[in-house]
Amino acid sequence: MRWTKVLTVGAVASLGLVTACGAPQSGSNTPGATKDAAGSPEGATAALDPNAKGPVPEIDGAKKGGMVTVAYASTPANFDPSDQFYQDTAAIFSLTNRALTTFTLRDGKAVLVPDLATDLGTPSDDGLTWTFTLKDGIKYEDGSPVKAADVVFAAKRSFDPDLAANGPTYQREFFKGGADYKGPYQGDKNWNGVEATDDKTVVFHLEKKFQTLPYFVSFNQFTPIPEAKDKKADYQLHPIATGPYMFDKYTPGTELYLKRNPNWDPATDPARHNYPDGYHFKWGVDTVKTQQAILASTGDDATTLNWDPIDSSLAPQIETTKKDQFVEGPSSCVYTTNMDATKIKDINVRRAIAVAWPIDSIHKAAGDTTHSFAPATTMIPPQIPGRLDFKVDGVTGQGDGDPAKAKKMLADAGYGTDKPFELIYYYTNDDATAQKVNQVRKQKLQAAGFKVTDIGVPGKERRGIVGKPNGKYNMLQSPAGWCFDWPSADSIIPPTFGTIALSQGGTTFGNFSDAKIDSEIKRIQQLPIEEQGPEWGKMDEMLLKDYMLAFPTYYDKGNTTFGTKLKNVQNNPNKGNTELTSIWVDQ
Amino acid sequence: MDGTPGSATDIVADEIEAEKLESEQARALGDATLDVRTGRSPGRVAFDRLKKDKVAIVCLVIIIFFILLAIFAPLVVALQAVDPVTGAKADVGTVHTELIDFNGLPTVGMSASHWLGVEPRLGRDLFARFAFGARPSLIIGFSAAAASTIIGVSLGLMGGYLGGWVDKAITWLIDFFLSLPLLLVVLAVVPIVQLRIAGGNRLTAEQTSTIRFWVLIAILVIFGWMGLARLVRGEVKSLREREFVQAARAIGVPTRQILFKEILPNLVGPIIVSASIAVPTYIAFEATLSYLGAGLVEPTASWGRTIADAQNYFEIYPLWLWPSVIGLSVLVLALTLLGDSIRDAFDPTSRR
Repeated sequence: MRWTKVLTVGAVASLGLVTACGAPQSGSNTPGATKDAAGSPEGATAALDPNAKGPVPEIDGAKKGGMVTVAYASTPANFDPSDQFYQDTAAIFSLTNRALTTFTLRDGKAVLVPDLATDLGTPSDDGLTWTFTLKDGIKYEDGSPVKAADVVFAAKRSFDPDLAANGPTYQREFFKGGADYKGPYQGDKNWNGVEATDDKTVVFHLEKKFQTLPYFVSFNQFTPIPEAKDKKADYQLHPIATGPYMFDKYTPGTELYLKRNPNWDPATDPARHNYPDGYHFKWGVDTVKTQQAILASTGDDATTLNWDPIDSSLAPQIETTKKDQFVEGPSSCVYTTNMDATKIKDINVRRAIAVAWPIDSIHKAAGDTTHSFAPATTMIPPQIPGRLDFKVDGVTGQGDGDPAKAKKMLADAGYGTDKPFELIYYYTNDDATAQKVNQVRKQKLQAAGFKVTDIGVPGKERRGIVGKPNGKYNMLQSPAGWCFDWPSADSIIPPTFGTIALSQGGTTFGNFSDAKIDSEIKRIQQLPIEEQGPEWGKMDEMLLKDYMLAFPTYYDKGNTTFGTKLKNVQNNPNKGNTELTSIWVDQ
Repeated sequence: MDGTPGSATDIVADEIEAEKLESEQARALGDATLDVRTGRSPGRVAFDRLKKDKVAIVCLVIIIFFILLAIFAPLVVALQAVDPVTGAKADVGTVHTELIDFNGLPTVGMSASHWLGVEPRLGRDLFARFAFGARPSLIIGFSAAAASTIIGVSLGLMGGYLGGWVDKAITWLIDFFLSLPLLLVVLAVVPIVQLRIAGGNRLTAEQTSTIRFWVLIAILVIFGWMGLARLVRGEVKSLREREFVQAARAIGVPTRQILFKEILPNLVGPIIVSASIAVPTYIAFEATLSYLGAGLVEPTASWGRTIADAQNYFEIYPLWLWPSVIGLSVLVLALTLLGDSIRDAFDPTSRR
């Protein structure tokens, strides 16, 4: 999933412009995955519960009424359900639009439950056909019934090169005939990779096995859109709601008001509460000022929440007097330092960079607090089943680097003061924090004996430059991190390493193509899903030990700062974001 | 042509007489040998008045203090003690994150090795940032004021004296530049100019900051000359019809000489006043632009940048904000008051 927070963090880099694509395999969908999830360390993975039924149990003491304001730094580009692949819009759409499946939080753990569908889908024996049946009595906000054809239309629409340009691309890879399909408007209207056999049945025809399809159909791309009411590019102004809330007033780029949807039936929904009367989203706010106001909690600020990382200047408050106004938890994202192995050819130089990397100093300069990150030693975050907990020399996720050791490694590799190794990277020069981080990074790398050429460009431009494999950099290209799309490493390693990832035209970890990496990815993808986890874990270690194309620096954490009147605010560990569907207002 | 002395001249004459009497009385008490009664130029008169203005003297002392601080910044900073943690003397650029805790706050306060503490997040020495931060402010303020004064005076002289199409063109130019929304144009132009100069995106942080520095001066000059040009033009227009200019022209004195020998000396007052008021304006403008992100960038120390960075930390670490805010306010106030005093000193109608 793309990373919206990175826009506000600014310090680190832009994130993966490469869109993720998974490739999992055979085996049965539910029992194996559930077992895996149970054994995971932080319990953040999504277990599957195909039998979940609505309504969700009431929360003790929860009251109805009140408005919740959500104010945060970035601004969604649009609200077209087909175009969404972002953390923030996913949270907003979780209130208004229902997909075939959805995640719900139970005791702080995410569980995948059926949403519009009656169960989590039924695969055929060969795994190439999946069938989902819709529940009875589901209506749109205008009272008209939801039909299977609407889900199919939405799925087709997610192929549209204009309407869904920023969406995920798993459907292209896995759906039959999806590779070059252009959606219902520009392509064949009767394309049948996804079809409705009657008003209640949606059938997916696949090119190859897609074990994690039940996770994928929780995406916004599978929220029904009635074809007759689709206004194409203008549909984003008012996507027709099926969830507990609907669009009330939307000013693109500024704010959005949601109000109750009278046609939502809680009895059909196993995931959502609807305590507040409505929600108010405000975009592009100043993070520090917003968080300060929320902690002070006067007037409307008492019912406001912000999900940007807590600013370090406010850390003393949320650690002491304002402890009850802040929650943190795991996120789906791992931050990394990326290198271009085609330009830094010597692995020992890449290792020296990892050894010299001033992780603590960069955190301090960026104003990250221990609330917004945890030290990382692996590319696969701890909540993924099968993840191997290993440490490669120099990659500790902690400390301030070892310049003396790095210097010695460089000397052994043939680089000294007379012939220093030159690191070339782009940094954002129109953001004060990014400038500061660059000062620290540059001085510390110079102290380790590197020659550093830091090229400053405005943030917007930088995104473009570091996303092209042929740039003039030799490190810090995209992606600067990765957020998994579902809790399985097949949404982490295949989209970011190796030839296939590179062939999509963007940059990857290492920008590197290697037969052994490719064959290993292919081998693991052939395995049954229950056996894949540990294999991905081993591959993670092999990549870091034998290739060192990029090294992890920290696991991101989800942060929510909220006013005193908001209750039951939780972090969604699979999204690294606030769970909006269970909040209530104490008036 | 009006041959009789105007009332303004009378007042000037009276004023000078009064001045002389005053100084005479003052001197009579002390040194009687300094009985200079004749030949004091308007500049001399103004200077004498200025010397007696206590506010002006205090302001001058403050300004000289900041100028010395800026010039000798490296020496002054080196007076700080060796830091026991880092084992080195602080300097303006080196980051010391070992002095920072994990929430970005300094673990050391004001001490012999860091007179004003260290910067949150990066651990750079705040006194060094403060002392070096005076440099860009003063250099930009004074050099931009000097350059814009030269341009303003030249164009004003030309327009006012030559008249005709030259005057029309210059007046149009003045109106044109005055009509541009300054802040908006600057915010838009700075990054563009920087890109143009850079050519192909290959600028390091230091190069960017240097370019920004010169671009700032250029912009302040380009947008700062109009007021003075208009003033000088108006003055010249009236002066050039006066008898002494007419006479000079009649006996064939070259135009250049008329402009610089006959007319310009009469304008010294307004020009000095205008320049002395421009300096604090430019210093404040540099800080504003740096604050808004269109001015100087890291790693250059600048008060405007420091203020921008420090404001969010004010509640928990006010020490970061105060020196720059106080430094900037005091310097701008001193320069402005001095400018006022100079204006008063040159203005024959003002009495204190």
